[in-house]
Amino acid sequence: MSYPNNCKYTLLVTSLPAHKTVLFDEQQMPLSRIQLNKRLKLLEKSDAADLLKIEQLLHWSQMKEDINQAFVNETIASINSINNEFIKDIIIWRLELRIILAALRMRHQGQQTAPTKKIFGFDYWYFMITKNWHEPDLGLRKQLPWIVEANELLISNNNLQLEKFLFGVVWNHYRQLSLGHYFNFEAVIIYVLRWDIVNRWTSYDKEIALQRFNDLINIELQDKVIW
Amino acid sequence: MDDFILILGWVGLYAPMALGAIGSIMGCSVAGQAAIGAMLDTESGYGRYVGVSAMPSSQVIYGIVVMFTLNRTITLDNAPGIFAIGLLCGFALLFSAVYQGQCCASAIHASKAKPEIFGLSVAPAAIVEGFAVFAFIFALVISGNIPQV
Repeated sequence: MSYPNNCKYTLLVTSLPAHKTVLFDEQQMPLSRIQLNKRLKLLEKSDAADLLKIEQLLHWSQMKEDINQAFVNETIASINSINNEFIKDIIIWRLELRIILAALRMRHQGQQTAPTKKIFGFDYWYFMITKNWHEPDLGLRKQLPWIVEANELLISNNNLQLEKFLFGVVWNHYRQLSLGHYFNFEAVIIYVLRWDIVNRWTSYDKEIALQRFNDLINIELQDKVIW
Repeated sequence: MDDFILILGWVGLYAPMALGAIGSIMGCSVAGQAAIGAMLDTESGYGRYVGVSAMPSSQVIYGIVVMFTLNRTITLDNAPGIFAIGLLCGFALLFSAVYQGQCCASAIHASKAKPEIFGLSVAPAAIVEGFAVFAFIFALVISGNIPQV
């Protein structure tokens, strides 16, 4: 990065309110999305495009229930169009984390064997998962130490604790990545991704969740009546 | 060859001033932008942010003093000494200013979130300043051995 850009990112990073060290200490958003977007206008065009891509790729609204090869190919193409290796690594880490969790959830729901349909592209853990399907940690304890606790929480149906635990895993991963990146684009990316986590955590609302649950039950019951 | 040696003497004479100025420009600009960024996020303490961001400006002053100390009629006898001291001192001032600017930016960023650590957060920048002072003082001391004519 050239020196003037470095200066610009120094300005950008220092203009952002600091996140708390522990995620659950955050009771409210450090700044609104409108304010954040205003500050992010300082980004270079290519960097802004990369940031948009990472947010789009990781946002749950972009996920499909039925993931097929075409969707994976599209995702991989989108990842490959990003110029920054740091961002690519983050995206792949997050998507692989979701794959592991999906495997744990499928097994918890009673699936006796590992999925046989292999989707090329995100198959890094496929061999380990299929080989160790009946192991509590899927044989990944050494590579992914968090998997043991995540599995225990899943088995005990402690969903809220599991959600908090996973937030913590991602939060700490980002905190670790942020070391050595203080006034550059990577620091901005980490900040925005952590902002997204805080946004999700602080927007959790018991009343809204209950309403949503009731709506889903009603839809399901209506379907049953029709049939 | 003689002309080349004399040119090196002139380069050495102006180097501490020029390189010190380049360092101060880079250091102050990074720290200054950090100060401006901090102002966007805070409601008070603007003065101290700007004050800290000016810390890397001292290197150019040291450079000016070294330049005047080295200033004399350039001859074949004294040109190599002036070149060596001037250039090395200049580089020391340049790098100290750049890295001090980054220390200042970090200090501003950290003290913005935790105002109580402001004093401590400036300590690394002060330590870097100490090394610039070493380069400055010993350039003055050693330049006493360079022939006047």
